[in-house]
Amino acid sequence: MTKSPRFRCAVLSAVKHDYVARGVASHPRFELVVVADDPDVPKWAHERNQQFADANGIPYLRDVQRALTDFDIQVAIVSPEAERHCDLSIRAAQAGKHVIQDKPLATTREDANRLVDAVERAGVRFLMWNRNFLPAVLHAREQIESGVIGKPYAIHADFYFAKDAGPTKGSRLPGYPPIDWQAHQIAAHVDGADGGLGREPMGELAVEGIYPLGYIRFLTGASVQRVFAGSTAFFHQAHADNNVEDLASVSLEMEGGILGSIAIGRIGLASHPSGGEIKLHILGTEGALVINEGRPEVGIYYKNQPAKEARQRRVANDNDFLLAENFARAIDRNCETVLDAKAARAIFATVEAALQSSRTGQPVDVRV
Amino acid sequence: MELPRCLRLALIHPVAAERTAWASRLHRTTVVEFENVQDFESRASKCDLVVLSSSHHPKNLLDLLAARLHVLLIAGQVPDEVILESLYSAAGVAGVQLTVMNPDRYLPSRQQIRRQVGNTLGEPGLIRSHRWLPSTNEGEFSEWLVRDLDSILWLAGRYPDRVFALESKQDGSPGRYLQVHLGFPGGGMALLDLTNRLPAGDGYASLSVIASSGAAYADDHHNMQLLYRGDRPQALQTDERARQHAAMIQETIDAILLNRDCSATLAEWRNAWVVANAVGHSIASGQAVTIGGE
Repeated sequence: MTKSPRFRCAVLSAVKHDYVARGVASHPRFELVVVADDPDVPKWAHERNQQFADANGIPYLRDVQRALTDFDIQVAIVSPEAERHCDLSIRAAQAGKHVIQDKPLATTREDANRLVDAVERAGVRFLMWNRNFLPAVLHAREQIESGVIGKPYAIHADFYFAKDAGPTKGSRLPGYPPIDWQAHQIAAHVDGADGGLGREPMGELAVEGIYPLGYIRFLTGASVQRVFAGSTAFFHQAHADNNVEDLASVSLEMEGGILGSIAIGRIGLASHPSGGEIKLHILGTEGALVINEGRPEVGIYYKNQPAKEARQRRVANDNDFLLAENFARAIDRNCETVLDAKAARAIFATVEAALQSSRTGQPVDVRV
Repeated sequence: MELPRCLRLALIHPVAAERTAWASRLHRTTVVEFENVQDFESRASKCDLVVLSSSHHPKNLLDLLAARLHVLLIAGQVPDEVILESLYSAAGVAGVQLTVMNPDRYLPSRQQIRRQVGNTLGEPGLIRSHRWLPSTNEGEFSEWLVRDLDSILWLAGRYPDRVFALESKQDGSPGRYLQVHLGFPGGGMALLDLTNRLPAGDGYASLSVIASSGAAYADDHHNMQLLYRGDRPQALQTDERARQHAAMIQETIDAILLNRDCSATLAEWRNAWVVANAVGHSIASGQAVTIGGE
């Protein structure tokens, strides 16, 4: 029996979400062999990269090019600050490496286009890390594909992270300076609340919008054509100071006449006992589905339990393994991944249109 | 506080079991039950307050007001705000109270949430409502739309300044599906979807309120029990609707006994109708509609 080849992976920056690299490495077909970053990144970035390398018993190089050429790499796993995503992914693709990248796809339309072009020209596989293989999402897809609710005509996703993000809005005292976005995000790394890590402030639509929009795309196969959105900095001083949203609602008009919506926000630790309400409501011609994305779960409660600890804990979460499996098969068969560069760009375009809509107060066509 | 007297109440409703259930929970009142307005008129009973559905003909309602009776309308298929205005004027001329109430406000879960909004939960930021119904007639569908909009406005505690709405165009499918997106001054938002395309059987309702200091989730999904009879389990909902109408009527009784002005309820119900009209304009135009504050 022929054994499937193992893919050697370079982690091109682990400064944001090292769970992406760890998730990939949970699959036996992927092996982390080196961490690398550019030499001129800040000291804190080098420190994080070194820590990750040490924890995994692999070298850390301050030389991305050498990592790509000298270590017999087939895959690059990219998770730097958001504004460096595209640069590192493009360099990896141009070096002929398949790419797994953290979200968001890009911070500018130009970067998103450059990335898609680079991936296409290089003929490599690209996977935007996502949550589509969570058990409840897969269950929803099975139900839809079985035809039990008929043809979907409406889909709604609530995607709330019940996490704090620094001081509450209105708490800044007179005379105090606005909160520096990057410093705030660097500090938030300790509890994983640094999805917006980078110099450029990013609101929840840009940071997390890929998840609910990814679900909607995965479950319906439909692209979004027009949006109407509202957004606001409602909870957190950091978001208010940097003019980005921590709460948003988006109405969606999709291919095939499907309608939908997302409600998304970083709504504060107190707002849910288990990290946030994430739900899907799907209407079809023959019925409807209500899906709690956090299931299956088990309830764990004990004396003096820290407030930050989830009371309901997800179990049987195979998302990481299944995403890595999907990526491995895409490489083996030279086919697209579950969320490839073009699909990720469509989601980027939806977010871009939603932000424009919330500024203008009118619906906006999605321009991919 | 000691309330001054007891109110005589005429309860008009076609279903005897419902009348009796509501009446059995009321305090500070004596209740006489009637099946319909004709039954009430024919028995000519003395009363202070008449409780009936707003779907009655406006002439019946005007007659009751002209007879100097306080009237509580259980909000339903109210014709339009012009008729509401004429009823309000008639109540003013007669010197009686005209109250319009949405029974959904009196669901225990909604009462619980409303008590927390502006209090432990802080200010509402995003309100999300789903209402899925099996087949209804067009009048009932419109009634549900206005009721749900009223519930949202009541929880938001303010009037929206922007309305965007979509309607699903599924050729050949019976029933309707609407999606409404509201924007409020100060950044608050609301999303509502309403359909009457579910297969025959139970409907579904869900409400969540994300607010500045917390959140509330009132979801039929949470209130399901399981029945195993072979094959897949069935979900059975433990209902909360037993007391809502009695709670609503009691509030009106107490308001009248205390001489509290109930006319704000009319303005609130009218606001919901204005928003419902804006929903129609938005669907027709494909654009967001700006509406003035009240």
